[in-house]
Amino acid sequence: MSNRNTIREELNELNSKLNANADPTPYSVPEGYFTGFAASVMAKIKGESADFITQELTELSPLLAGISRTMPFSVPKDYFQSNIEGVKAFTEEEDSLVLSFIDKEMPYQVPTGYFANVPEQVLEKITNKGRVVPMFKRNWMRLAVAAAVTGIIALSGIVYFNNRGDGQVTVNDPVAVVKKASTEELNDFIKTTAVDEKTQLTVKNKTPKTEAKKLFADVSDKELDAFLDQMPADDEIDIN
Amino acid sequence: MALTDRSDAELLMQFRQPQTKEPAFTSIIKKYQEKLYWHIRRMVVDHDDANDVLQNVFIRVWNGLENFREDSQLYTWLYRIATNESLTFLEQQKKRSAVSLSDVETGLSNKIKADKHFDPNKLEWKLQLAIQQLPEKQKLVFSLRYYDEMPYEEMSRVLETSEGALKASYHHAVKKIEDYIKNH
Repeated sequence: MSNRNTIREELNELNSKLNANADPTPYSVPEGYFTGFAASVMAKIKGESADFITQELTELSPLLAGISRTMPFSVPKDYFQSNIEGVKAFTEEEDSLVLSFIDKEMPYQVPTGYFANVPEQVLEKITNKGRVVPMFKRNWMRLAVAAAVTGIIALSGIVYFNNRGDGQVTVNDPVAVVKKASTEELNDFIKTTAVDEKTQLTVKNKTPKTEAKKLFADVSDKELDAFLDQMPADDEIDIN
Repeated sequence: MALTDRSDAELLMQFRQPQTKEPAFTSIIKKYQEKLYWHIRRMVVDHDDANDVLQNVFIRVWNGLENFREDSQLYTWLYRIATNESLTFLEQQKKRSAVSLSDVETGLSNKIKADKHFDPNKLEWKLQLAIQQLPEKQKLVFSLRYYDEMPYEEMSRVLETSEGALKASYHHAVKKIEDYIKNH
């Protein structure tokens, strides 16, 4: 419509007598012409095709034109029938009667003005992508010392539960019990546990050296020395 | 002429010029965002999830468009990214909640039912529920063919699957959807 208005204005400027509103196609078409057009063309193609080929053959070779076109080769019984389902899947799309009743318009709603804001949001994300804010500040020393202390506490707990006397509640899974205990409970246990000749709180002979080495693999000697200085003197821990 | 009216080739050329990169990219978003959005939303159901995936898609487009080889149509490439991002999103959801994929599909069906406009009596909503019963690949094939009317040739490039397999997949998907709608 806007094109027509532009053309009309242009014609007015040129003082043209041409009428921009005039029907560009003044010719008339027989009623129902287009409705039956496709069918008439197909009929012509089929008719012409069959007649044309027969005529052509007759002209070329009357002998061949007189021979039956039935194929002499045989085909296994039900060969074509057995392929129908598979062939249909590949060659045609069955029109679904059920789907034909369903409106293709999506029933989901979209927030008002959503699409207008997408380009801006995407560009904002792209320009902000360069700034990387780490979630956690890494302090390896703190982590290493914490790992060392946790390991010692866990092993102490295992030793404690393994050396429990009669009459006490037995624990089937001491590791699980130690894990459930809070840090405060474990600290209290270490501080209050009496150390005597029989139950020396030591991991010297209980913990395989390889296990201890693994626990302290990422802890420097300096840090361990600092830690040991803080521990009570009667705790013996051999990590070598 | 508005940038959105320009051909993909022109937009790509504009994108590769530093001074017109951003306007060209904006135009690409405006040109394809709705199609990609609905393709994504049919997979993930929830608008907020679809929004996240859509934005991730365009961020990937920004990063990768410079090296786009143009051996396929731009929209084919965009659809492939959108498909992969949707599948990645669903995979992450599965891992995050430590549930099986069938539970993810149940979750998506529940999201549909939780939509405030959900009407169980309307065929359009039943169709969405039926689609969620399909395996992911079949869901994609059905969505691309039924809603986007994508030719199988193009679909085979998007999904990197043979045309024959896609036709068979669509055939089965339609049957399953019909059965679901008839039985519910």
